[in-house]
Amino acid sequence: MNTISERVLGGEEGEYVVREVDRVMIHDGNAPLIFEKLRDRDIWDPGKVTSVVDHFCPPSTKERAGFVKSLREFVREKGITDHVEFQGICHQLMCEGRAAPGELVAGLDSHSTMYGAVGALGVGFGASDTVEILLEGKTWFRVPETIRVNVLEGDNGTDVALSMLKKIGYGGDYKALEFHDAVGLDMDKRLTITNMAAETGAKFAVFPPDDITWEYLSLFNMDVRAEMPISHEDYCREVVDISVREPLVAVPHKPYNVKPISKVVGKTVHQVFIGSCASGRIGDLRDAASVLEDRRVHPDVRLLVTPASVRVLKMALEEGIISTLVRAGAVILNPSCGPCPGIDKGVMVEGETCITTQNRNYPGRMGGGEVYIANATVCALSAVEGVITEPGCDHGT
Amino acid sequence: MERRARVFGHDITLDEIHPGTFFSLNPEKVKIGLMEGVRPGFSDTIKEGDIIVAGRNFGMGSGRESGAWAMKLWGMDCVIAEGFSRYMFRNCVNNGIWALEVPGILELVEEGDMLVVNPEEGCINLKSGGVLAAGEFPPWMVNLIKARL
Repeated sequence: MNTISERVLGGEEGEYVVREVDRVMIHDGNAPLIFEKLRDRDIWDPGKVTSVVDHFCPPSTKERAGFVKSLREFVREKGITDHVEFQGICHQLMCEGRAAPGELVAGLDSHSTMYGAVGALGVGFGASDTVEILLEGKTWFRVPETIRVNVLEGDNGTDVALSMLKKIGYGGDYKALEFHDAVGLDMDKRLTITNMAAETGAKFAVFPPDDITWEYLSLFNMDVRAEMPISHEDYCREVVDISVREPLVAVPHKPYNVKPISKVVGKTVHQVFIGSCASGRIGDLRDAASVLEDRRVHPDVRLLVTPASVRVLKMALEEGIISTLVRAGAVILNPSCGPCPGIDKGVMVEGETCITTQNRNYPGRMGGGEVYIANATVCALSAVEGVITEPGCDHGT
Repeated sequence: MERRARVFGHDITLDEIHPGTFFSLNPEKVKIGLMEGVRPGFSDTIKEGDIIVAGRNFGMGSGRESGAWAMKLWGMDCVIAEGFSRYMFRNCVNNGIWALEVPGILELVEEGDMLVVNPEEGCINLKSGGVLAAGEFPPWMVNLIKARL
């Protein structure tokens, strides 16, 4: 029992175990696939389930309005009281006072790794697995090998995440990532990193809780302490050191096709999206606002911004960030998944290019076109210039 | 069981296997979405006995079950890849689809090749006469798949 995964799952690396989960998250984008299988069946513990409407948010077709209506009826029938509509992205809401350190949290979504930022082992599942978990409260796991990621230098969450993707590629599949944070990254940055860890294929991605975790959780009156020391390097299959000194960009069509920004400057962009569960937190919005203060979005570009949750939106309103963004010409979308999964407001068509803070740039991910991934500062600057722009090299400085 | 190989490359993402725009509860809509993001019109060419053969990291990215469900709706009871994402593997098992992992298969199989597959034993006979072995499933997982065939 040498790694966090072994201790939480209660088995040795490579072993199959059955483990009870502590909490479950479902959302409107995937939940429609589970309704029929759970018809007239009681679920194991309605009090441990969170249901979120964030994909079809609000719904734009009758079919999708039907999904949301069905989810509403489903949670009522099952006695799930923690149902949240149009208030934010599911993973953000799970990390605003729900997932707790040391817990094993099953999400009906591949970015559930994000809960590792608050010290929970978040893990994603498809619909059938989620049906079993909702009925039994448990499922099978293969205890994963661990990659230890030492964050040694870097002050931007997206860039640390992109550097991690460049080094690990899809090599995190079936594995757990444990982060040793030598920098003291704030929670917004950790959330970005554990979210984008999903693009390595990782099963878990966890920052062992520390003072930054406790301080963040105290904002939600959570006083849950769990001792989870990071695994010694000797017990990790691989050790990866991250030192980021310049902005990075993931180029089409894989999140791990990462290049220094200098290799892509000048590329014309038609859309800029700051948001998705990988971003859209107050730190990202502050970065964008500091670029856009007294400047205008390029006339050939539309800038879309989604705050990650209503809590974040309120903070941005109070800080004047939303005014700054709107004055600059940004379109503020409601807290939701937005265009990232290609199913809601802001999708693109072939021949268009977007630079975004989101986590995926797979073919067709955002509808059509090509997607580049970069931090919020680079995105905001590129929105002003109409081309991918390196901070410090724009016309405004 | 004789199967016709429909061959795809490495690193095919779930967003390509089943684009989000085809997400639906309508089985007909789900069916026509299969591989639409990587080979548009693919569903028009599917014949009975077709299976997908792919490279490394098949199904990377999203955990949406629509990809496995679409294969199931077409009657595909097995899929062969050099490697599966964790989501694709679990989603296949849960839909009663044998997810057979065969490193190097893309070197040996071409589009349209006929294969004789014994999924439970992880045994694949090639047109050339060669035999490939897939990784084994633990017995409890075999039972799980069989219960959902």
